[in-house]
Amino acid sequence: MMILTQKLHFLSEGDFYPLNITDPVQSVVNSSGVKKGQVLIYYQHTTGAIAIIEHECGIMVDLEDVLERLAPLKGDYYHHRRGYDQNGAAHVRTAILNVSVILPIDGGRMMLGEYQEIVMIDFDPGLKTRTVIVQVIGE
Amino acid sequence: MGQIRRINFWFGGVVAPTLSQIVRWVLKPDEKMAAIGITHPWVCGHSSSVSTDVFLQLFNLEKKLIIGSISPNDFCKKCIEALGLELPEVELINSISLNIPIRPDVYSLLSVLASKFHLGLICDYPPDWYQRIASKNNLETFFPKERVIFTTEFQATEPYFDLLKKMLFLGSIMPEESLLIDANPNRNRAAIFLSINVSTFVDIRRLRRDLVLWGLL
Repeated sequence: MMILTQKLHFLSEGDFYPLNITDPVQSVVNSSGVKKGQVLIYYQHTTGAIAIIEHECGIMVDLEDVLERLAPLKGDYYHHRRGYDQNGAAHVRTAILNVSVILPIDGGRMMLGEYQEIVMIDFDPGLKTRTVIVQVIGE
Repeated sequence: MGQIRRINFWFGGVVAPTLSQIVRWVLKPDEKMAAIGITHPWVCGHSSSVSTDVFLQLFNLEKKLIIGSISPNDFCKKCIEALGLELPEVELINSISLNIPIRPDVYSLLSVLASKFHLGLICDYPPDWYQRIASKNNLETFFPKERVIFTTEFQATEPYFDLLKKMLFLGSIMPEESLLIDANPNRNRAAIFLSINVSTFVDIRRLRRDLVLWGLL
């Protein structure tokens, strides 16, 4: 049984920034040598999510529209009263979505459907790097 | 959806590497990420090659160069300083402008698309650098001078509305008749808000699939 844990760091410009990370994750799976198993993709922050979604620009805008209705960027958040940061919307959006996904691996490939991609979405404002932990388990 | 009459490509990140990517490749290749097959421009390996701070510095310098708020010489000088190297700027300029690899898979696709559509280019490289690259790679075949926009002409590229409107104006086309191919999510979002059709570029396989879905291939 092999377990490989790799941290990947991605550049994000923030404010609903969707990035297709399917290929970098598959590269980690390839480097593990695991042929059958699972891969965990874990977003190591409180202000972003991992989505298994078709990475089409219209869908990204639609998702952003829905999240804006549920947790508007310029909303009045109790989180802001602490005075440390003003990213209440980002935290709420993250709680609604997933910070991690697990995918099956077979034949050394993640068993994604034809239009499924792994998309990391950063909700936090501002330019920064974000960390995604990829853990491959299997044989 | 209306009929697509014009396909516009963003240069850095689609036809050629992004500017900060090419600087990193030329000056401090990320062996750690390359060793596991990851060479994507937005992946920062946090290896000994480039720290997070420097990675972000390079990106910020790229943004300034794209809108023309620093000169190409200053861009190279500051990149070299950020990476802690001692190198004349002209050496980096030559490395970048003479040796930039045009993506061969995208180049092949341009040949196919040019026979069916008018192609336009939004170039985020300085005009001098682009001219060298274009001459070397015969890019004028696909992107005649009148269909190339340089981002350095615009002082504000966020949210890119002015730039995108000029792109439409040059083609005398409606937004619905235009397709933009770009890797940057923020620019793509701005394009969608202007009713321009968009394909987010990740790699050639996905682009070809997208073009088939749009009915263009």
